[in-house]
This record gives sequence, structure tokens and C-alpha cells, in this order.
Amino acid sequence: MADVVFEAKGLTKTYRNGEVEVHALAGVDLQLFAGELVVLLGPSGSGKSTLLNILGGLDHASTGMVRFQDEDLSGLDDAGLTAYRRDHVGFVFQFYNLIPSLTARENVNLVTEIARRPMPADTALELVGLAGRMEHFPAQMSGGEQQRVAIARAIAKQPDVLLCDEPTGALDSKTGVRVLEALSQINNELGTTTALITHNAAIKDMAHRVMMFGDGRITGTQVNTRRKQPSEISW
Amino acid sequence: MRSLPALQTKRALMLLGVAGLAAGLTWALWPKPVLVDVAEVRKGPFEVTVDEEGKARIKDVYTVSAPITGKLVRLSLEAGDRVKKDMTIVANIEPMAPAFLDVRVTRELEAQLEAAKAAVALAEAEIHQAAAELMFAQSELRRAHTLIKTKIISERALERARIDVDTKEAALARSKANLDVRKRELESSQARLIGPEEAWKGEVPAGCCVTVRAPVSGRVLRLIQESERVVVAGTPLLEIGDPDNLELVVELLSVDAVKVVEGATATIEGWGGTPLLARVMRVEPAGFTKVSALGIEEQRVRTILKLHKAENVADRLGHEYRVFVRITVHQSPNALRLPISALFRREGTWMVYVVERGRARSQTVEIGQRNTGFAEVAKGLPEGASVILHPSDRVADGVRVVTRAPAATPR
Amino acid sequence: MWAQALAIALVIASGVATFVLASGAYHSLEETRAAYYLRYRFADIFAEVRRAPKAVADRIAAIPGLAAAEPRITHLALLDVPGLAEPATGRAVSVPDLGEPRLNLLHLREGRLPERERTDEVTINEGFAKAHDMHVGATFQALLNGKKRELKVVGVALSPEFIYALGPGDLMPDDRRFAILWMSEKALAALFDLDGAFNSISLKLLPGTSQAEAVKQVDDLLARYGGTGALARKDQLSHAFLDAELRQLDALRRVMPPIFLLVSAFLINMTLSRMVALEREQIGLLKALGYGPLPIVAHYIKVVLAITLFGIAIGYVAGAWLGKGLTRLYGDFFHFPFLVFRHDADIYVIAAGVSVVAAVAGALKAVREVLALAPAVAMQPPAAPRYRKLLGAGGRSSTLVSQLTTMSVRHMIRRPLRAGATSLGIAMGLGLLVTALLSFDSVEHMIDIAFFRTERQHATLTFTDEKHQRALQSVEQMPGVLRAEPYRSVAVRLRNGHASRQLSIIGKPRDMDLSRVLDLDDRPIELPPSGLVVNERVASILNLRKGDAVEAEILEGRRGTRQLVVAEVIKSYFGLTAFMTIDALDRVMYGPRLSGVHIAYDVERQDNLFKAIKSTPGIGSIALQRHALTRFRETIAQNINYSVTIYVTLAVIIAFGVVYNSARIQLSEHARELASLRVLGFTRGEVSRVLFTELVLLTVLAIPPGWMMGYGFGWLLIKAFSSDLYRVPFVIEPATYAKATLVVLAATVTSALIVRKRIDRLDLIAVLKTRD
Repeated sequence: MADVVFEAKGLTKTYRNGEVEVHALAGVDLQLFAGELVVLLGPSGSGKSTLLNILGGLDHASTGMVRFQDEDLSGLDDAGLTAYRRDHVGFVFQFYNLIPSLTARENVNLVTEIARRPMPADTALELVGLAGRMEHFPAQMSGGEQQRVAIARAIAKQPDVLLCDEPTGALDSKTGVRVLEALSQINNELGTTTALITHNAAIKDMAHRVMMFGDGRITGTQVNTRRKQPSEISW
Repeated sequence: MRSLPALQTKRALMLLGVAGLAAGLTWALWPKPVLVDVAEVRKGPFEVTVDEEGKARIKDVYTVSAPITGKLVRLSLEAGDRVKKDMTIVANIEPMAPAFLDVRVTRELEAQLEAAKAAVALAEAEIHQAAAELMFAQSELRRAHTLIKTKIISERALERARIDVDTKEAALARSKANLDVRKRELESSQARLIGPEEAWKGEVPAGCCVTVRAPVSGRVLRLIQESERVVVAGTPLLEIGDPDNLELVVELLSVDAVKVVEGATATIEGWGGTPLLARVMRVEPAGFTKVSALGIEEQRVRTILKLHKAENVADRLGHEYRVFVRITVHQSPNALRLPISALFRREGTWMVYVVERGRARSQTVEIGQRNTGFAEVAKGLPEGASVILHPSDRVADGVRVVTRAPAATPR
Repeated sequence: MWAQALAIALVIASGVATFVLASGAYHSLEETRAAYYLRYRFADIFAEVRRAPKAVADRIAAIPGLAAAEPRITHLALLDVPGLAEPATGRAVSVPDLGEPRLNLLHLREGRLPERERTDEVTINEGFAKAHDMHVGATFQALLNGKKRELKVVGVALSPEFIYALGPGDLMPDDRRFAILWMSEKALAALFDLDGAFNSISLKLLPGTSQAEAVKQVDDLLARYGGTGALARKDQLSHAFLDAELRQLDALRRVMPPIFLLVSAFLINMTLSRMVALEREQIGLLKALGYGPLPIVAHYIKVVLAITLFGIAIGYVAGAWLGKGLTRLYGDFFHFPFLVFRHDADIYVIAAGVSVVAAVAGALKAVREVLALAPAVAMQPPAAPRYRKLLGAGGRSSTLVSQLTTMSVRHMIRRPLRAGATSLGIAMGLGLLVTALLSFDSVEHMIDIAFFRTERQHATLTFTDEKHQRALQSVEQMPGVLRAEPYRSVAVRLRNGHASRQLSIIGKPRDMDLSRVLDLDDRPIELPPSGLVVNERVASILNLRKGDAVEAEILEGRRGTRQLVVAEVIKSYFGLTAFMTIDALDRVMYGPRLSGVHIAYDVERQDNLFKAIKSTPGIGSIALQRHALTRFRETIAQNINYSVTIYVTLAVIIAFGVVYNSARIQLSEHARELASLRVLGFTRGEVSRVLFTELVLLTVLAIPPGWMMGYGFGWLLIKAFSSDLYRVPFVIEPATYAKATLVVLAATVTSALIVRKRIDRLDLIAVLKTRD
């Protein structure tokens, strides 16, 4: 079977919001395998973003263990986490988070400059179909194009794992599909382990596995025997 | 990963930039060398002089004075005129006009005059009488001669008649003489009444005056009395001297005079012409007290110098002219000379700052003689050493210095 | 936010403080001086003569327009003070025997005035008394007209006429070596053969009387008695020096505050704009809810006012405190018998008013933006900023310049005005620093020229009056004298057209080594055999150039007017000076005479020399050059250190304030980007580089204009210091530029490091969930 990329046991995350204690995660166990595309499905507030943040090294769990390959993430300090993100993780966010003062190519270059084994920026952008927009600033591109740049940026470093938080959340159906196509292509061609968070149930059909989230726990898992192509998805 | 060479280039550029900045700052902050004036210590002629203001004066100045009290005629000579010994008449003295008579004296003299006149009249009267008596005596004698022939009278009577005549002749003569005397006395009384107005009339008869001739040949230096006036015997009238016979007199401080030897050379300046050479003839053995220009009493000694024969200034440098004398008291033809503006004291010893390899270094020196510009180096500096003139307070041992161009040396 | 507000408040405080302190000190000293002059009836005109009978004083008093005329006797005397090896100089001034002086009253600190006809009683000035710890009963010796006498101190006093007690030939007041001796008039008359006569007279004018006219009449009356020209108050030595000092203070208070206020206005503008930008949504919301623009504007203005008032308050306190300290410092230096502290309400009002206006002006732009926002637009996130590509047209250069640097540069270019203004603010700080530090350079240069290149003598002896040439030899023969150079000083009035000035022509020998004359390029020159050499200041006042003819009215000795030709213009930092060779000057006057001698002497024989000088009647005073240098350094150093400390502090406040604010604003504007970078795996160091690069670039860009501004301010300041009394050279060493730059760089780095701390606290997660 494929290697375990992520292993998490008993993850909880509690934080204070003024007087109130919020239990974002209330005990999560999971495993992610190399090369698979996993969709984490759930309503807002169900804790999926929190889990992604912990997996991506953006946050520490309150209790529990989380491992990336052989490394225990909970033992890493801030510098360690930064290095971890730098070397192993690619992110795609709902609001793209591109650098507005850099062109598309420069945004990708940002990452290739610090990556250990990057692919050329042009290649990454071609992969997402934006070869003709490399010299444009984010302000000159549509939402979908921006998100695709973000994806190119994420994969240019050839990360071990790609984490996407509501990648289509700000996009309309047609554009969103294109983005999903890009993600799918990358997963297929490069074999990058991909975790995709969404509240949009329609997307789950393109994943290898689906995990359902609710109230800070995984409420259910589903394995897709037949995966839909993104073009077959609509909402 | 970016290409390695590009990374290296970038690092290299950054390093270059930072290095450049650091270099710039370092250069700017590096202490600048101090600008100094420098002079070289060299061998050369060196002399120490005693300087003082003095006067030129003619040796042997003859003062011609009035031989007699009288009226000096205005001297026709002027200062500078040449005179010849015993030939040139330098002065004429005429008799004075008599003095004024005041009222009391006039009255007395007038009374005396009247008395004299009376005496003359009396004398004349007496002459008459004496003449008359003589005539009688003569006629008596004639009678007696006649009578003796007739032996009427005695020889003795004749004798007596003769004696009588003689006596009467003598009396007459006496009377005449007396008259003379009285006349002369009258003249005398009249003369005593002569006032000065009399003398002012008319010319002086020749042969009445005294001419004074030049006692030496030379030039008139100074007219002491120039205008016509009454002089008493002995009044100095003029000075005559031989301008070729010039000497220089200077009053040195006794502590300086001690350093001056007879025969020492001197330079004469400040007289209006080019510097002259002179030699010390004499340093007087006795000093005297004089108040200086600044009000303190000093002991001074007169020193006499004589110009070298070659100097021909007789026509220009005159009597009582100012000169500035520099008498050499020490001379070295080849002394190691150090400008005194380089010297300073530190804890009692003389020091200078020497410039070596661009840095200042203080050096003890021993100096010998000193004049106003230089000092003789006895010990401590080799020839050719560069010393800092008037070192500022930023010059210290080890400080980097740079010469200002050009170096100014004192005279 | 509060740190930014504090930085702005400090800048405002600096501007207000400088204004208050300088104005306060300036007005206090002005007021003190005016009160002092008034209460103690400081005369308006001063004249000296050789000797004039008292009747002439009555004739002078009869001049129309005169309120009072007071003749007196004054003379220099050498002093032999116990505990002082070198001779000191005293100026004996007579006090009337009957009644109180009518003009130039004395303020007695101790004791009384001398009794009539007592030649041994003297009242001394406080400076001298303090310097030698003398009180009533102390004695010292004075050489009065050839005779050494013992004087007994019967009183210690102050006089407005001698606030600055400067001995002849001195550059700086030296209370140890110069004294004012007030003695009985009859006693001085007896000592100096001036019975029934006077040699100095002070006059007071009725209000409205023409000073020039009065001076002319006095000169006419006194000419035949050897009058050397009457001086109006403005040329009186003590007053002139005091005036020059006060003028410097005035320059300070005019130049500094505007700079600060300008910078603070800019800072407020920047900060407030940012603040408004951050609160766009709230503003839009409020507007949508129906709040008119005015209440919103009012809110922001209130914030600005709060910061400004806080700064003003600090400025008031600091300014008042520093101002009082400065006034006291000056008061002690001038021996004012009392101090008047002026706390003009209007100084404070002006300071506050101008600050508020500057602040509000700064806030105006931001406020206008707020007013212009339509509510709906406001509530939307602002349009994405448009960036322009300036770097990296091709792919090649992008390998040299990292993307982070590209970001910084593009940020800068996008807001050229703000970047420019920040740079300008830094440049101003740098300029101020250069201006502050250049005083050291200028003073060192001045010292070098004045003490080591022009006047190198160890001492200057001034004779009591003109002496025969032989006096030179007399001095040369004194113990320890290495070299003596004579000089002659003749008072003249130079005239060219309608411009005229009274000054002294100094005759010097042709070979000068101790006391020299330098040309405009600081090279020593030989005086031309005939013709006049004048210094720059004289040349500019009288509009003279090389080759021009100038009319010289000789005011002493052989009076009359001559035509002289200006042979050369030279540099001089002190006074109005003109030179000729001593031979040429002798030809203009009756004959050769000397006024004094400059000497170099062997320090080992100093005691003997001083003893000899103290017993020489012909010497009136001795000025010691090394003393002068020490005093100069002490006095100037004191003044400079005080002002430099102030300037440097202020400049650092400005530089820091500007940089810190800029950095904070950068951070808040680009927080999202920076957080994104962190998310992407950039270390904190790398992310701060984005901010730093911009700051460093702005600082580096600020350096050349900063240097230029320093040069310009410095030049203006130096010009403001110029007066007839002294000029300061304009010299800036490279080290000064370097030091100033280092300080500004340090300020930049420090504030950047402080801001960096905030980068560490960026909330990474929050940023991912929000739109731009």
C-alpha cells in the first residue's frame, strides 16, 4: 500500500474567544496516504480548517499527536514549523493570498527561490494553463486565474503535500471547475498528496477518499470507487 | 533553487556594496593628518648681534665761540658750507651799543655833565688868570732885566722875577692841562650820556671789529647762534667738523656691552641707505644711568664704532643722524641652524617636533647661541631633519602630519 | 498605535520646546538686559580724549538733545595680583567724588565706593573678585603712571558698562586677568596729571535725539583734545558682544522650530491617512447608518488634537525648564545682578497654535478622503492597488534581485509621494545633525587659523601710549624674550561713499613670523610697501575691492584725511581690521612710533619676565595667547556642547519618529502579504527584509539631500552669526558627514528592529480567512 504521509491521533484544539472556550477539534484520528486526493467535507465551524492548519504546520494542536512522514510536528518550534512548511507543504487558500505587487511569474518565483527542488516557474504556470498571463499582476486577473496562479505557486516547489482550503469558495461554478481540473491534473500527473477542504458536497466525487466532519470530529469516511472528472461536477 | 552563479554574484555585489560603505565611512572618520608648516635644519652662517639705535657723529667737532663780548653780526654761513682753516671768516663781532640809561642815572649824569662844564669854565677862567699872571710876571722880568742893567734891583730880585715867570708859566701850563683834563672829563660826562641811539646811526668804522676765522677745515655742522645778537665772550657760535671723520655712537645696555669686543664687526642700517659695514673702536669703561623708552632705569655704556674705509657716505650720512647698529657678538660660518619658532619647552628642556615618515615625534634638543630667527643646534638633530614650526595643540607624538605648501621660514 | 502617537507627540514636543526655550531665554535675557541698562542708566554714547579740561564737559552737556554728560578719568594699569604669576590688566575708572555717578551706575555687591581722594582704595568688578576670591579688605598692587601702588579693595560691584569685561587684545573675557577698578576721581586725577580735566565722557541722549548728530557734535568739540571718535552704544565693546550672543539665540529660535513642525505635520498626515484607510469599513458603515461627515471628521480631528496637545504639553514643560536653565547659564556668564524671566503668554500661544495648525493641516488630506467616500464604496474592500513593473522586464534580472526586494521597491514606487516625504524627513534629521556637528569643525578651523596661523605670539604687550621705536629693543632685552615684533595701532574712520566705519589700522613690520596676515586662501602674505590691506568684513561693509581708493580720516595724532588705496583683501575672523606696513603707517602719521609688541618667550624664564613687566611703567597691559586659547576653548566648548546635545537629541527624535512611523504604517498596510509570506514558509528574518529593504533604500536615498540640507542650514546659521565682532568660518569635514550618517543609520536600524518585533506577532491564521 502507499506510504503514510500524515498520521494524527487524538488531536484536539481548544482556544479561548473572550470568555468562551471553543473546542475546534475534539479528538481526530486520521491517516493520509501518498498520492491520494482527499476531500474533507463539512459545514463551517466543523473544524476542518483547524485540522488543515495543524497539518500544514500553521498551528499547534492542544493535545494529541500528529506526524508527517517521520517527523512529529507537535515537537517543532516556530522556526521548525516554518522550515517544515517551506520544504514540504504547498498551500492554496480561498482568497488566493497572492502578493499583489508581484506578477504571476514573480509570485511563483517567490517560492521557487526558496524551494529545495523546484520546477521552473514557467512550467508550473503552463501546467495550470496560464502561460500567456505570466507578466500580469493579480489585479489584472480574474478570480479563477488568480487561484490558478496560487496553485502554480503551491506546486512549483514540488511539495510532498498540497493543502487546499476552500479553493473554489470564492469562485463561480464554471471557474471553480477549471480550478478543480488543475488540482486533479496535478494529483494525477505529479502524484502529489492532496487534501482539499470544502463545504461543497459536489466536489467530493472527485476524491479518492472523503472524510466527513462535524463538531470537531470525523464523523465518517467514504472511499470513492469511481472518481468523477471535475468537468462532470457542477453546483 | 536559483542558479548558483547568480546567487554568488548577488552575494558578491552585496558584499561589495557593504564593503564600499564601510570603506567610505572609515575613510571619512579616519583622523585626518594635521596640516603643519615645516622647515629643514640646515647648516649655514649664523650670527648673534647686539642691536641698538645710535647716532652718527663727527669726530672732533669744533665749537667756535665768541672771543669777546660784542655784537655778533648775522652769520652769513649756513650749515653745510665748507670752510678752510684760518682762511674762512666764520663770524664778525662788532662793538655793542651802549646800554639804556634810566631816569635817575640820566639825572646824575646830566648833573655831572653840568659840573664838568662848570669845571671847564673854571679851568678856562683859571687859565685866564694864570695867563694874566704870567704876562705880569713876564713884564716884571723884562723890567727886572732892564732894572738889573741899572742895578736898581738885586740879582736875587732878578732871579725871583725869573722864577716867578717860570712859576707862572708852569701855572699856566697846569691850568691848560687842567683845562684839558676838565675838557676830557666833560667829554667823558658827555659820553656817559650816549644812549644806544647814537650807536645805531652811521657805519662802523673799519678796523673796529673782530673777525673770527675757522680754526679747522671742514664743514659747518650747525649754527648755534645765527642771528645778529650781543654775545658774551665764550658763547658758542657754530660747530665745525670734518664729515669725512665720522664715527658712530651707540649706548648699549651694560650687559650687552660686556659681550662686545673691540674690533667686532657691525652692520649699520636704518639710516636711509643701504646697510654699511663698521667696526667697534671703543667700549667706554664707565657706564651711566638712563631711563628707557618704557620708563625703567637702565645702565648703559657708550660704544664707538667706525665705518669701514670703503664706505663712502660722507655726503649723505651726517652728524647726529640716526643709525641702527647691529654688532656681531657671535659668529659661526657653518652652524646647524634651527628656526626658533620650532622650539618649545617641556618640563624645562627645549624640544622640537620632528617629522618622520609622516608622523610627528618630539625630540629633545640642546641649543647653543640664539638670535631672533634661529638657534644653533648643539645636540639632538641631524642635518636635514624636518621640524614643525609653531606646532599647534593638535600636534603630539605619533600624530600624522602633512606639510602645508610652501614652508615659510623666518629671516 | 500608541507608540506611533507617542513618536508624533515627541516630534511636536521638540518643535514646541525649541521655540519656547529659545524664545524664553532670548526674551528673558533681552528683558534683563533692558532692565539692567535702564535701572543703572547705561550711557548712549562713549567718547575718549587724550585730555580735556572740565569746562569742555560743560560745553558738551549743553549740546541740544543731551540728557546728561558725565566726564571721568580712565586709564589702563598693570596689576600684580597675589597668587597670579602673570601680570593682569586693570582699567581704572573714576567715580565722582561728590554724590553718586549719574550714568553707568554701579550695583554694589559688597562694601562701598572709594572715599574721596584716597589713592589706595578701589572697588573691583565681581568677575575679578570671584576669580580671585577677593573680598573687602583684600589687597593687590597696581602700576599707576609709573609707580607701583598697593590698592585695597573696599567694595565689589557690577556695572552695565562692563558686562563683558574684555581686556585690550583679548578675544574672550578672562576674569582672572582683567579687572575693572573704580577709584576716586580726585585720586586718579592726581595720579595721572588730570586735575581739572577728563579723558573719557559718557552721554545720555533724550528720547528722539539723533545719535549720529550727537556723535558728530561731540567729535567736533573733542577733536582738538585728542578725541579718537565717539562710540554709540551699539559699538561699545561690552554691549556689542552681548548683542552678538543674543543674536545667536535669536537665530536658533527662528531656524529650528519650523523644521520640527514641518516634520510633525508630515508624520501626522502619514499616520492619519493610514488610520483612516484601515477604518474605511467602519466609516462607510457609520455613513450608511446616517452619520453625517462632520461628526466623523470631528472624531479624527479629536484624535489628532489629543496627540498634538499631549506633545504641546510635553513641549511646554521641557521648553520652560530648559529655557530657564539656559537663561541662568547666560545670566551667570554675564554677571547680571538680577534675572528677569519672561514667560510671555504669546510665545506659548504661538507655539501651540502653529503646532495645532500644522497637525490639522497634516490631517486634512486624510479627512478629505473620508468625506469623499460614498458609504457603499467605503464598505467594500478598497480596489486592489495597481502596481507597475519597473524591475525585471525579462527573466534575467529576476535572478539577481530577489522577489522580496522587488516587492519592496514596487511598494516604494507605488507611493512616490509618501516615500519621498519619508526620505525627506530622514534627510531633515540628517541635515540637522550635520548642522549641529559642523560647529565643532568650524570652531577647530577658526582656532587653527586664529591661534596657530595668524596670531602665534606667546603674548602681546600694549604700551600705555605710543612709544619711540627704541621701545622694541627695550622689550627684546627683557628676560626670556626670544623674538619681538612691533606693531602700531592708529584709530581711523574709513569712508567710501556714504558707508563708513571706525576701526584701527595696524602697522606691522614686513617680516612677520609671530603675528601674521593671511589672504583669503589662508596663505600668509607680505604686506605691500604702501597701501592698505582690509579684511573681508570691512571690504563688504564699505564696498571695497582690491585697487579701490578709500578715504581715511585719522582720529589721533596727525589728524586729517588721507586717500589710501586698498592693496589686498584678506580673511579675518575677528573684528574689523586693516593693515599697513609700519613704515607706511609712520609716513601717514607724524613719525615712527610703536603701540605695542608681540613676543615669543622662553617659558622657563616666565616668572622673571612677568616680574620685569610688572615693574615697567611703559607697559599698559599684557595679553597671553595661550590663556586666550584655553579660555576660548572653554567658553566655546561650553556653548557648543549645550547646543549640540540639544540638536542631536532633536535630530534623533525626528529621524526615529519618521522611520518608526513609516515602518509601522508599512507593516499595517502590507500585513496580509507579509503574513502570507510567512505561511508560504518564509522565515521571520526574510519577511522583515521586505520592510527593511524599503527603509534602508529610503534612508540611503535621504543621504545626499540630507548632506545638502546640512550644508544649507549650516551656511544659513553661520551667516546669522556674522557680525562686526567676529565671523565663524564655514567648514564641514567629511568625518562630520560620516558621523551624522551613522547616527541616522543607527536610528533607522533601531526603529526597524523595534518594528520587527511586531512581525513576529503577525496572526497567520486570521489573514487566510479575510479578503484583501
